[in-house]
Amino acid sequence: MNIGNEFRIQGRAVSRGIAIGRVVCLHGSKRQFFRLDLSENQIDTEINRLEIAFNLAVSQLIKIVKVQNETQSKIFETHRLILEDLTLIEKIKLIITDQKVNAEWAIKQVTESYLSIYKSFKDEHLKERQNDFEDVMERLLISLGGGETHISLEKDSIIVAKDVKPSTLVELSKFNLKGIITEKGGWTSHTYILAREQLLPAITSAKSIRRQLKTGDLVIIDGFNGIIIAHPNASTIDFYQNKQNQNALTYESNFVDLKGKLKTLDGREISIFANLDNADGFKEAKFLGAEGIGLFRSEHLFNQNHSIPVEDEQFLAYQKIAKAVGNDGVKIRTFDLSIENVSNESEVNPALGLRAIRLAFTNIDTFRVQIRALLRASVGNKIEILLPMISDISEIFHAREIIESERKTLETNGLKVDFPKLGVMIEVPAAVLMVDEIAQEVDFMCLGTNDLVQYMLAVDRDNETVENWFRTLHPAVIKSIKKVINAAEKVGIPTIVCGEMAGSPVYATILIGLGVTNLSMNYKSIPRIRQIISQIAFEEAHIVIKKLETCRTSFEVEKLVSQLFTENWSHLFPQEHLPVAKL
Amino acid sequence: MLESNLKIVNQLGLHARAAAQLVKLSSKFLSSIKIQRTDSNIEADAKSILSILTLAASRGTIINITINGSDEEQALDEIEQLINAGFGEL
Repeated sequence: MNIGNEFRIQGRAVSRGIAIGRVVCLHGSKRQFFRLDLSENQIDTEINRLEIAFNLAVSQLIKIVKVQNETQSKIFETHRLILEDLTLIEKIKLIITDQKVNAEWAIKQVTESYLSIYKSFKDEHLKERQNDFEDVMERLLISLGGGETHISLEKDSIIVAKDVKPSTLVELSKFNLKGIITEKGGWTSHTYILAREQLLPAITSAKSIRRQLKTGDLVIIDGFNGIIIAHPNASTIDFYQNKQNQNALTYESNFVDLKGKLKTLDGREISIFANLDNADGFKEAKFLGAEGIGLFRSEHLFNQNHSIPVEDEQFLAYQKIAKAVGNDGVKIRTFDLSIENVSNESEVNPALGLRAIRLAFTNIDTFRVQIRALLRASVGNKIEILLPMISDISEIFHAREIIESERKTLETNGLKVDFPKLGVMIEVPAAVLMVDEIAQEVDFMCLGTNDLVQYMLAVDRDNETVENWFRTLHPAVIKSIKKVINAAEKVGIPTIVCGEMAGSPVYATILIGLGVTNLSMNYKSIPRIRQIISQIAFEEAHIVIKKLETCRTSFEVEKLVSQLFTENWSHLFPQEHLPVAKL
Repeated sequence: MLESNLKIVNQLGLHARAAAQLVKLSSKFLSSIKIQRTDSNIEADAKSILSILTLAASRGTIINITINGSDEEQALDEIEQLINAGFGEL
């Protein structure tokens, strides 16, 4: 035996859990057949043969639909509809009569013609439908041979195959099936929907697994981390047997993938950006997976010497950050300052005072200088302008007028300028309520969740005496985020969440479930966020959100988050990381 | 004849189980029901699942539905409801 030859293969977990068992390799189960040329008088018999097989296959499907649970029922009801689709059987008959060939050969041709269409689809979920189609056609071919498939499994078997059809899974799960490892297939494939329902651990995307494992090999499936352990040694087996016996609650995931586009388990692409205030950090941020700077707080330029940098100084600073980021692009937020920052005047309530866009319009010359510097720096660079604290659409119109007039001034002076995109921060309740109208007027929106919570709940985020009222998971906050996401989606512009929420594993998961696809955060948080997001399915997060939406108080949301996260992803979120519900 | 443009709003698009629901619903009606993508001329018969699947209508795709027959109003009404409700997956 191969004791001591333990090795690990990384795949993608599509059904969680731990399984230990012996490999059973499944090879192409298609019936072998060949082309037969028929004489004119054999055609009717052949059509008759096809019809008998067809009826047999239909009756098998009816049986499966009746016997099994709802999920299985729906899947095989779909198979039945495919089989009973009139165009399908007509096409097969037409080939039999036109080409005078046997039914098997006709089925092969029809199968190939449909598969070539499905394979050309770009959408991952729709592509997976070829698996169902092949499954139905195989059933028809087997019925032509007159019988059912006869597979049986030894004790504690783990199937290893290129892919597994839904019917095969149903057939095999009557035996001692413990887990599935395949090279192809994804989260939404019907096979894995069934596997999750039956609590059968499954891993896909296991590259060339069929060359590395053979029937009889001992193997462990770690369906939390997507790891396959071949020829495990005694201590590894011990470790996993213990994990199996304890409940999954104590399990911790250790999988971090920094390469390539971040995707949820079910294939939804998520873009990660960095919140950065200087050019130096971008190299590391990019290494960790940042696809650009989602928030550059321009007031940080200003804070260094406590005076407003002159136009050329700003221009050079913006150009420097834009050059460092390159094609990934940088969203530069115009000064988000309060009157106290720029003068000796003080306000009783600066958070609600003359600040951000209001201060910009009051000290219009300073704003014009910044706009000119931004317009000049955007030539040949990917810079986008972000306006802070918008509460009225007229502020967007006014800002655009200023941008246009400064563009003209620069052009008149013979300077080159570009047309950077314009976006706004959504952080004031008025902006949330007017978000459908705002979305029509901008190129993108950014959700500043810290200020959104502060303004939405009227709680000073720096005042400890009211910290019990600062509730990020307040139902009003969740509703607000959803409203913003929907508005952006309706007009087809991106929303980037760039507050604290984006960089927190629990909140980021909630954001994903709400439909967010762009997160901008302190780059140090990127690895942890990538680890979490790559191991959850959007579908799961979405179901969690649907349940949270029924809550009426922050306490209920916090309690339910803690409960649902533990049920779904205890391996990703240790209890101490989950929010503590406060009454 | 009735015509309507509808957007596919559910996450997975017009996938197999969603298509199955559409076929089952469409088959209840006597009217002929055709679906076409607005961005190409691929046309499908709403009563044929294989035909619908070839549309490859992912989330966000806008489809044009043409219904012709005695029960066209009822058919359009119910089909609109099914698609706008994201096949119950929203």
